Amino acid sequence: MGRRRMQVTATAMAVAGMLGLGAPALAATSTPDPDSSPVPLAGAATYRVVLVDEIEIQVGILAVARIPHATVVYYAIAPNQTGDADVFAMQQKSLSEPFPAMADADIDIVDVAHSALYQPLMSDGDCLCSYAGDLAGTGANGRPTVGYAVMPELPADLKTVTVQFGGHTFFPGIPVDDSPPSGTTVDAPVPLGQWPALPDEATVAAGDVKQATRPLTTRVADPVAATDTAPTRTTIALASDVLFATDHSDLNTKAQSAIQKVADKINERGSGTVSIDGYTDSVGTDAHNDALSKARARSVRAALKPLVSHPDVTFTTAGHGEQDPVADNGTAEGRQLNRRVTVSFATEEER
Amino acid sequence: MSRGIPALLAAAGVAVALALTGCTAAPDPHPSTPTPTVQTADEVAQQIRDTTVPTRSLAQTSGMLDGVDDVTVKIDVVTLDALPDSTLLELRIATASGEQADISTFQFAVEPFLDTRNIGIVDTADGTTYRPFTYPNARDVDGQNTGCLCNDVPTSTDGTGILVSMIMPPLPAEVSTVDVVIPGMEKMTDVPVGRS
Repeated sequence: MGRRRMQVTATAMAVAGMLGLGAPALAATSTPDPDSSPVPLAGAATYRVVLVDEIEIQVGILAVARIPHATVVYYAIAPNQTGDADVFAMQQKSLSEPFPAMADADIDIVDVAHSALYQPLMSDGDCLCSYAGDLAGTGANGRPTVGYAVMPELPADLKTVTVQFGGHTFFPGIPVDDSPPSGTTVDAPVPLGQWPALPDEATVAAGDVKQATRPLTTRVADPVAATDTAPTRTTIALASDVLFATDHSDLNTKAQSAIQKVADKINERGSGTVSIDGYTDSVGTDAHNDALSKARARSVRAALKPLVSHPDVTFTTAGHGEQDPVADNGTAEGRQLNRRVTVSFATEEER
Repeated sequence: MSRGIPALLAAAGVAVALALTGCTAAPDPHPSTPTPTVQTADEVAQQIRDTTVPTRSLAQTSGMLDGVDDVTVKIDVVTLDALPDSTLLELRIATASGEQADISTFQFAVEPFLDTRNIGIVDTADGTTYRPFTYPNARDVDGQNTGCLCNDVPTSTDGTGILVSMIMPPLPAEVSTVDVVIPGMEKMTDVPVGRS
């Protein structure tokens, strides 16, 4: 994999940094004994996976620490009865993500304050994180094995984060340390008490921060409208059951206030093209649903356009019938969510 | 699950001293207030090994999952915590029969997603429903194949159950109970919201 490593110098300064202190509290030691070296622990959990057999994964989040150009999540996985960590039971990222096979990349930092999700950095096709082979166990001593994931540099004002681990569990309130933990670094597998060698600074600096930083979409709904808010785009799904009579496309009396609220949001932050799209559930013929969804989208446009005062906004409409459902049509709740007219627009930041 | 780790006491220097001499504080089981401890490797290893799968239940519902097999499941609310910037919901999905069964389903999301993105919590005071955050995947060309701050429905479960977790937008400060809505299941009402 060609991963270059850097050694983390063991100093008392790092212990102080780990604890959020500004100055060294202890004198530096020479080669620390791994058995007595201090080890941080910010959170721990056990979760079950049932595959062919039952598996319990025991994991500790040791630290989330700032390093030059990046942030590192250090974690430890307890060995099973054979001395290995059950890393195969850790979920891999979606195929829509760029991570190579066997990279233990299903680790995220959640930063709601900045509407961002941070994933492990990729550099030259390599995940700057532990791979399954790195976590293959630490032999007879039965110690948990330490892994890492290098993430983008976090905003300076971020003091605590939520860490998602392995596709199974979230650890809220994990402090962000200003420097990595101190101790001896060794090549994988790394027993608890020692630390994995990280990629070198140049490799970390070359990491694809944009790819590893995903904007979060906030999803909040009321009985009339479900609003998805991302940093640069807002989508409002108006409930057809509230706006229209069954199988009709004329807006009812309840629709006006809902559409006024949409117009207010466009006037406040919208820009560019406002897309108005009608959808139905899967009940009925395609031809009927296509026509109904198109007519409903046009009705919403006719009511919305006079209320929008923003000079730069234009409108498009389309009907999609039962395509692109947002929920399972096999349940009543799902069909209700699918019967909708969405109004989506870029927000000012995108202009 | 015992995510929380004991609060580091007022003086960090005291904690360092305690850690280096092998003394530790007792674990705080509350997951929303972890502060790092510094202990020996053996002590940290033991703390990790001492964690257990949570067995508590704040509320329970049941119903049929529409998957490869139709399986009746029990779903418990294990954790519902208001965090400073978000809300953590953990559910346990177990078979009603107690037998292991395949429960892969699109019922809690929509094809192609096998996750739990359409599970919601409802502030009954104003009818607002909060659902897990989503995000565009790095290779999502058309904006449709989004990721979710929610777990996938497990491939299979048994009578003990598997946890699924999700992070939702923050609830208003005055909200003390919510309804938990899961597609195809009876709504769980007045579920208490934990606040630290």
